[in-house]
Amino acid sequence: MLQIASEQETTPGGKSVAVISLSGELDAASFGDVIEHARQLIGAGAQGLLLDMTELAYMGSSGIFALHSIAMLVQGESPPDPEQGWAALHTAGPSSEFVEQLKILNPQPQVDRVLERTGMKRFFEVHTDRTQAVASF
Amino acid sequence: MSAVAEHTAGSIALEIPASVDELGRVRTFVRQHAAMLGADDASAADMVQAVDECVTNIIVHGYRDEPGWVRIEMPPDDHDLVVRLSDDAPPFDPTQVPAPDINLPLRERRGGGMGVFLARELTDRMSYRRTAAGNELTLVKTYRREQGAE
Repeated sequence: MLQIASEQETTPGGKSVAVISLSGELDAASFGDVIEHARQLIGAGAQGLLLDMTELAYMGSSGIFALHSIAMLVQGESPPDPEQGWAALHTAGPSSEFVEQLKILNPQPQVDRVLERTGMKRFFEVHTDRTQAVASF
Repeated sequence: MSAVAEHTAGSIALEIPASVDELGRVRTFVRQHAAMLGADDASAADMVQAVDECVTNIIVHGYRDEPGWVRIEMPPDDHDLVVRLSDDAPPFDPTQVPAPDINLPLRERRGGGMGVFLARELTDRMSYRRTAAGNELTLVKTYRREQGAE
């Protein structure tokens, strides 16, 4: 079961940053909800997204798909269609190697390991302090 | 069909309908029984994730939204955590899926195969056979017995 909540913050430089807090377990049943939540925040004007993973106890590879999709959305690109199979990811990807508009806060050991093992961690800044994370956008 | 748990001859099994909504139940089942067998937390967590990834694959890529079932069985073993997954989806051998190149840039990387890749990384052995009933995948993780466990 995954709970998703979000708050809007503004950086000292005036950028609008949405902090998405995930708690519980992120798997194939819930990854679509995370993408949709992010899509709505971006549509509402968020210029940056901070994924707060402090309370996220478990993340499967579906979470990696969600991260990749959100990275594309926040850069103004279309995410892959999961209905076409997860291999659809390779057809389009974020335009830059490092995704400046999407950052991660406090991944717990199991989640951090998934990010590390799948090679995804190098694409995102990972923070441990929320205030500093928001200010870094 | 609702999830059914069985205990026969020391083996513990759970059978679920092929739905991603059942994944939480699968993880809880493996987590609880790994602890009951005395597995250390790290090995149990690895097996929980490996099973989650493989069952997700069966449901999403095997059954493709068609009705079906997945059986998760944990036979007793003195040294290893063993989980056997069975289903009657079309034949699919995850041990033959090529590993993704995790060093590729984000734009060039392929999304598919990450779950199987993680399952392989997190277990010590993974073997597949096609039976009369369908697919059978066995995951094995050698664990350190927690002190105080029988």
